[in-house]
Amino acid sequence: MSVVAEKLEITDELIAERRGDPTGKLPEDMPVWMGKIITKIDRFSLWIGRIVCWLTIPLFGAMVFEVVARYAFIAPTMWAYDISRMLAGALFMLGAGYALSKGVHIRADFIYRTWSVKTQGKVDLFLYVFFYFPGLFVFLWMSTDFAYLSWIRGERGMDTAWMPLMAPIKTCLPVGVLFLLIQGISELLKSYFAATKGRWP
Amino acid sequence: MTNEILGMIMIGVMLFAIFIGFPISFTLIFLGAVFGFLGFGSLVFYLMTFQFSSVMLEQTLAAVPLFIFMGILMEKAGLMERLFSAVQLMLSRVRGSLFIAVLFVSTIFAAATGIVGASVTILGIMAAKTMNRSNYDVKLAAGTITAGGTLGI
Repeated sequence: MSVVAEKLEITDELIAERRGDPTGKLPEDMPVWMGKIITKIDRFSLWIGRIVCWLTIPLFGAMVFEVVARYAFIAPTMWAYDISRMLAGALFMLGAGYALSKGVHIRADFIYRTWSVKTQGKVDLFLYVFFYFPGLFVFLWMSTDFAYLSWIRGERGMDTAWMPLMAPIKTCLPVGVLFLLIQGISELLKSYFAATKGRWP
Repeated sequence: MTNEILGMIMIGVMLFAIFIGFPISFTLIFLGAVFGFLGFGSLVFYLMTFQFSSVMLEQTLAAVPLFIFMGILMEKAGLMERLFSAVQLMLSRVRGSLFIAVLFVSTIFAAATGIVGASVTILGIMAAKTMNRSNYDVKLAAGTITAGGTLGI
């Protein structure tokens, strides 16, 4: 019953990591313009991910400061709660595009992975065009409106004592969706390639 | 078309679209927007943005990056490896001692985190490596970790 790790069926990992290497060589029969766009977008997303991941450190610092101040010095701060949840929210939203470029958005892939690569590419292409872009465009439009209203009104959070400005965190929504859309173009081209050539770039 | 029938259709389409294997989040965004628009009118778009921002500002979810950070830190420091090998030595007479160790640790984490994702990720980072190295059955190891993680709902 013992299975060696290397011999396991690794289709899941392949789906998650087939786009893992950012500097990996592109296939030679891919059109040049397509390769250029994909490389640029993926590199852009990689850098976004690398920059955004540093938000963890201030989050960490705010939590540690709050815990020490509250329990060791009995001087709880007002800002730590808001800062921490805002940083976490920004981390989630801004990291979404990077996660898409790594293919780690959760799929229920127990049927998907049994298909041939061409079918996978066709299904992905179809769904990117008809599900992904319309939904996210509507969302981008609405969340831009939402963030814009928040900026011009100088909205403050009413659920905590510190009452922080809500506009910066709400701006993260359209920005994160924008990153997702940019990365979506790259994924669209990749799935088009898979649908026509029968393998993933 | 009444709202009830609309809801039933939406559930059917949603299950179908999820099982096709497109990333679930985008499927849900699109279907929620479309069926909500049919049911509520344009109000649903405001609700969608509002819901997004309230999930984004959820305090409990802020624990996830912190726990993952902690797990990576402990794994890089080699702390968990030594801990797990100590448990392995302690329970060396018992068969499948690491499974028991993982379930024990995940019970503690479940009480501490309260988030499934956090404890599954952290145990996956920490325990899976040791289990692989000791030639445990990979499928059963993964099952143990995920099952232990669900304790923390």
